Amino acid sequence: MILLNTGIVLYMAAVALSMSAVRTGTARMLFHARLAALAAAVAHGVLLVSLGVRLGHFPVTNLFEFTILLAATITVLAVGIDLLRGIPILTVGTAPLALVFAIIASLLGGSGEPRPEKVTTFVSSMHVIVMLVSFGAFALAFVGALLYLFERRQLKGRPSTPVLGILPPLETLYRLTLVCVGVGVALLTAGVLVGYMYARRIEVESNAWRTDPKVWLTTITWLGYLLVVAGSFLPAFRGKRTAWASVLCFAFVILTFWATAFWSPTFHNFR
Amino acid sequence: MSLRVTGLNHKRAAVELRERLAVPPAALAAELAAAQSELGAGEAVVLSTCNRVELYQVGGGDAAAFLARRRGIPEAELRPLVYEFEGLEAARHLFRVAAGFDSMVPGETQILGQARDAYHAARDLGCTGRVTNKLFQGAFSVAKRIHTETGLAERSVSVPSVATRLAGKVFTDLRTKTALILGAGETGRLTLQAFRDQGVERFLVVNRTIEKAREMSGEAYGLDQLGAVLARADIVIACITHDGYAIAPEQVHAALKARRQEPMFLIDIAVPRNIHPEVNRLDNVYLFDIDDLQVIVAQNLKEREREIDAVLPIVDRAAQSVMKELEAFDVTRVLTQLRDACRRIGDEESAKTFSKLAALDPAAREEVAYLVQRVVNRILHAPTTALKSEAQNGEAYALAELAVKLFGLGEKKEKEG
Repeated sequence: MILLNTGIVLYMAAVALSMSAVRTGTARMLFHARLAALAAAVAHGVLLVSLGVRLGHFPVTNLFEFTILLAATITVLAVGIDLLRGIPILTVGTAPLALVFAIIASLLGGSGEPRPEKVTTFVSSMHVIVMLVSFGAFALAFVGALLYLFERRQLKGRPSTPVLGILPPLETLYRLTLVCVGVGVALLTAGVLVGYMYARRIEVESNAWRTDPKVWLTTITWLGYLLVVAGSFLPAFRGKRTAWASVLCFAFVILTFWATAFWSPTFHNFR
Repeated sequence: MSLRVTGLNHKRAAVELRERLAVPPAALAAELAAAQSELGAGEAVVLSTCNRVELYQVGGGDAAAFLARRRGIPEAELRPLVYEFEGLEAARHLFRVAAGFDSMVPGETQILGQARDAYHAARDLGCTGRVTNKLFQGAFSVAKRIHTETGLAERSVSVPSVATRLAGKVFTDLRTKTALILGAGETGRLTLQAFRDQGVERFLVVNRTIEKAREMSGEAYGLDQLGAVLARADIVIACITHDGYAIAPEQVHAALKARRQEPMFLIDIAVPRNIHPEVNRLDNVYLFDIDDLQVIVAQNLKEREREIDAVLPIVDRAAQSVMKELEAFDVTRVLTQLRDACRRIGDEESAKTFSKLAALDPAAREEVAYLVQRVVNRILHAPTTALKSEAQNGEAYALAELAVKLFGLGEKKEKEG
């Protein structure tokens, strides 16, 4: 509980610092925002590792664990790309998203009940982890697309220079969005395939997965992102439309991720 | 140490007067030599730029009169326009000048290079010394730190630099982009240079007279070929005198189609405008006119001024610290000289007294010598305390000077300096 709350407080600090950095254009503030976000991810990482050690399996078996790990994954990916490619705004943009995920996780809370064996196997864990990283990539694409739309709006009007100062070039944001969507689609495909094979093996008699809302929504999400990738090759779809499509597709990710957990009958119900 | 700066800048004098006072590089050696021989300055540095002429001196006489005499300007005309700062104020002034805080464009970095050149020239001619060396080096180091640690210099404050900065907000790598300059006039030339400085290598120059376009480095085209070459341009800089709009939305739309919607960045710095404002409504097109750019320039200037206000105390503290170091050394030397001089007087007067009172027994002699020593120490106590206390505040210069004059330490000090 202490680690969970520490992580949330650190995410809050990261959000406050990054907003202040955007307002004032101060590099030092951004540095502290990165540190706070990373520290939050580490705190939650330690929480999950200790949970995994106690349970004896990968701690990705319920919505609480999945959400907390998603927040940490997004943060680590964003700060990593920020440091490697010099895009500090990515940390700024993902910090609020990670904070929201961490707060949702704390509201959900871990049940602490023993998990069914089918979700604690290595293959099941791999399925979840690959899906999770793909969601992380989609989250970054979402942030990249939102930033692209924001910067585009700034450049189309009379821009505020302190805000513009912290934003990378539009081309960079556009490319980042497309790369993240591409990586996300590849990982989602891999995750779905692993899940499909696993489901066929363990649920072969019931075939419940065929009517599962999560499976259907995932398929729609996958198709949506596939359209984004295909559309990016069409000149008419370039720029604003691709960015909006990435934002909309992320709404499906959210729907797939949480909403189904509450109305999925039995399959994929891991609350 | 009597540091003084005398000069004038763009805020105090018109360019005509600044021109007359300016010291061209070829005349610098003679100017510095005259500052030492005619003015009597122990150390001298002349900073002469298009916006300021300043003479930093250690010791010596009235620099305003010296400058008026050498330039043939009536002293009465020059003196009201000149500023003179002494001691700590002079140091503060130098630190602010080097950091660009006193420049026409606040926070600019060019002055730092010019101040460095002025200092190096004076040093190479043997005109600098302990005070100017420490002061100028301190000022350079603080100015460098200010420019590195703050975003001061990053805020562009000229139209061409804002244009390149905005282009950098659209494109990741300007080196791979092609810029089209519409108009081969001076504005076009300056903007082309600004983009070239940012790494743009390919230029298309479109002008009414193709011969003039050929004078600029780049592929030259006539105005009638604009439509054909527009699609090749990632960046368009329009600055041509033209009746009506030279670039219509339909032309840009066609160019975008040919470019497969690759983004276009257009800058219209002509008045009347060359590019139809409706162009900005097209997707993947970013158009800025001269007003947009000037709004950004004004924003950046305001930001710079805000940042300068924030770092000014740091610069002033640094100047004060350097002065303290210089004065602490100076005050120690003045105090030592003062003590030595007073003790010497005491010893000499005691010796004279003892020679007259030969019958005095050793115990009485010792008592008299001790009496003289006590008197000397009591006399010295007040000036010593005052000098030390002023040195703590970085303001000991005036008192030290006074002590030198009152006790006749000047000549000896100059020789030691």
